Amino acid sequence: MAENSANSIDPTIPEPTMKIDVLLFGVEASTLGVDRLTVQIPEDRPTCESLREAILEAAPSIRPHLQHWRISINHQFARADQRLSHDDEVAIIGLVSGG
Amino acid sequence: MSVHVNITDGPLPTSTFHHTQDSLGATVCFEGIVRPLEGSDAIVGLQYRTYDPMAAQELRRLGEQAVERFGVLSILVDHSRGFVPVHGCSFRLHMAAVHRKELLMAMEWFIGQMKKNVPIWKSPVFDARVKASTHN
Repeated sequence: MAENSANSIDPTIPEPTMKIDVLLFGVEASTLGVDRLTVQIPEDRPTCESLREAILEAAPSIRPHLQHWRISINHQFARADQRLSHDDEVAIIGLVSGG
Repeated sequence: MSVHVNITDGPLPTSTFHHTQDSLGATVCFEGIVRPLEGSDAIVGLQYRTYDPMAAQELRRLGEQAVERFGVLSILVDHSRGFVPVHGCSFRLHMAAVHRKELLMAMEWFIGQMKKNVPIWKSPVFDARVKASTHN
């Protein structure tokens, strides 16, 4: 019996994905030797938690500092369940050392 | 209530700030000075990196919280960005309050919170000549 074409996945429709530039500072920047990292996440508007996972996959050498990470979106600390939009400025704020 | 925040390049100049509130009975000025050693290694200074404008926003937010929690009258925060040589001032916190008790508590609270939450980072700049002679 032929498949109902309405129930099959259309391979011509690209899966949603979002490319995110993440600003890095402190030990994360010095460990990687760069001050920004680009990750690609297979979701249209990923959460900060998804972003953390994507960053760890792209840059496993900064995993030891994970416990100190907070993510900022547009200069505000973000919640883990907060979703990213395409024009957001995103940064990892790890251990800080002002003063 | 007044909270002022400045982030400026290099070491902080001498402060000329004066609190002007009528009811004030106590003021404190704390200054963070760059020490000459990082552990046991000599440094020529500290390099500060600030995430602008979030650093100023967070300092202002802390100042407003300090006013709300402790009832201080005014707060001025100055922080350096870029290179600050040894013995230079990289951080200054001026506060004024009616009484010293809330003032000293607010100072300690503010500095503790800043060191945990404000996106500013410092890294030592070592004296290359000393390091080279040590390893020869």
